[in-house]
Amino acid sequence: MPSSEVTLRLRDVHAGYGKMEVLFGIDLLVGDGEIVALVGSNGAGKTTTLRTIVGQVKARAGTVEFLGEDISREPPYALTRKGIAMSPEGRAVLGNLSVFENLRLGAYTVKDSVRFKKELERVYALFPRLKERERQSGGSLSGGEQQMLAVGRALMSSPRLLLLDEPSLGIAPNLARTIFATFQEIREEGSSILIVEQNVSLSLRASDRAYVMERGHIPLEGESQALLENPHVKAAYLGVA
Amino acid sequence: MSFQYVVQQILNALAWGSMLGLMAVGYTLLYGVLGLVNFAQGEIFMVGAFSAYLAMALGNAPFWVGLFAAVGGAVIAGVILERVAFRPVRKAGGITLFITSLAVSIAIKNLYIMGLTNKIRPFKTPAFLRTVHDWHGLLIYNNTIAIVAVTLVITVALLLFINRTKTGIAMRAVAYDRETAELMGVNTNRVIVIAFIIASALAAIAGVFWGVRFGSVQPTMGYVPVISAFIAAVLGGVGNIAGAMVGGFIIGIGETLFVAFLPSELIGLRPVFVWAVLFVLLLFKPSGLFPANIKPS
Repeated sequence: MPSSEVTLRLRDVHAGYGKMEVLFGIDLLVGDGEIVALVGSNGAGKTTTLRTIVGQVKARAGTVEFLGEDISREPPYALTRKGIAMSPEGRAVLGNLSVFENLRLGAYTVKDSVRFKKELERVYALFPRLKERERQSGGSLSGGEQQMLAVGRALMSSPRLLLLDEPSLGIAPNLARTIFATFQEIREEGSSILIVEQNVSLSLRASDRAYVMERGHIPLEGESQALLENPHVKAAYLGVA
Repeated sequence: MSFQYVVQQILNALAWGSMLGLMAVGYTLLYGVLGLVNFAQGEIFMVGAFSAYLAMALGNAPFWVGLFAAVGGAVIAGVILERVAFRPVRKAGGITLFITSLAVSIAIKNLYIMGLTNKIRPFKTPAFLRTVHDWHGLLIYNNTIAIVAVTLVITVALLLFINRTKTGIAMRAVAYDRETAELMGVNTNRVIVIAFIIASALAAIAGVFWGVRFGSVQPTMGYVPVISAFIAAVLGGVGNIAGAMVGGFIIGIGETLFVAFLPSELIGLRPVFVWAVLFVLLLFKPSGLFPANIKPS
């Protein structure tokens, strides 16, 4: 892939916490307009990969490149301006702020009020439930609504790259499908998406390509359709022998 | 003890309640955004009062210039402290931050004593603030009216700032979850500096109120409101600005009435009141009277 079409590229990234090494040389690529899934079981290092991309964890070796620029040393708050937004694990809705204020904060880097209103309308159109709950506090929403809010909030900065950590975790299956159904639309509006998921079947169906992560390595990658048919993936993650 | 006596005591307490409220808001802001219980707020209050005193006594400046000098001096002190004392130990946690604030408090107080001695200095006040009105037998000072009015205006402005502006929302977000706020592009350092600026300006205004109300300033004056204001902030629910303000008035009026009902030989027991409030509070309602604005752990 020519570098002009690459949104995100991880080269041989090593990272961890204290003495514990979690990522052992990750290579990963998200192309322009691509939906990529990073799947694997609990503790495989998926969340750490996202935390390394946004600078919450510093890479010990290797580089993280966004639109051709090395961002490995950037502080997390600087990345929103560059065009990366993340919906963090466990939804992390700000419970003391209203739904509207959460979305306002998602557009913290947006200076133009006309653009802000446009983004707000777009997110409300994507998730009408949020508009109904506009004045309610984030903490009073159901799990599924909080997930919508976390995704919607990340979209408010109209990011080039949207990072989603476990968007299906702990919410009803029909709500998870509602959220996953929005990804195509989000992509068409100009964002590339990297989804981290334990729900392998759901995320392989919603993505173009996928990486399978196991204990800090990526042993398997490819077209999502092909991975759905892969015997190892089927046995280990899809519950079919 | 007549009803009129009680009302008069409450009226007298309003100025003190305003000072405690302004100080309590400072505590609540700094605790919210960085988990700091800042006992050096008392010294910022003193630095503010002295900046006004020095401008008016040495520089012969008019009162309003003194007020600006107070805010300017305190804000500079607050921003320097944030950078050299608190930022380097921020990652070490709340206890370390708290102990740092004690060290800073002792250092500033003694610097001022070294430079200016611990003499009580007369605080120049414009004549109109010294006027007293007799209203059906109740004595109402112009300075009470001015102090309460300024405090109310500041409170409303702060509430608008914290609830309506993007920076205000960012500040509440940092108080709730720093990491998530940063993911939205919020520069936490900047928010913390803004919190220090606001807290220092409020302490400075309280310091000028002190000078106006009691007519003098002294380098050790900072210890007087520090405990009461801290307890007012806890009473108001940590991170809750309106709560801190109300807490300040409750403590201020409570302290005054407590002393008013004590026989004169027991007036030294004044501090018993705030500690009793804290004790009861921790026992029955440790989260304060109003909703806290930080993440429930």
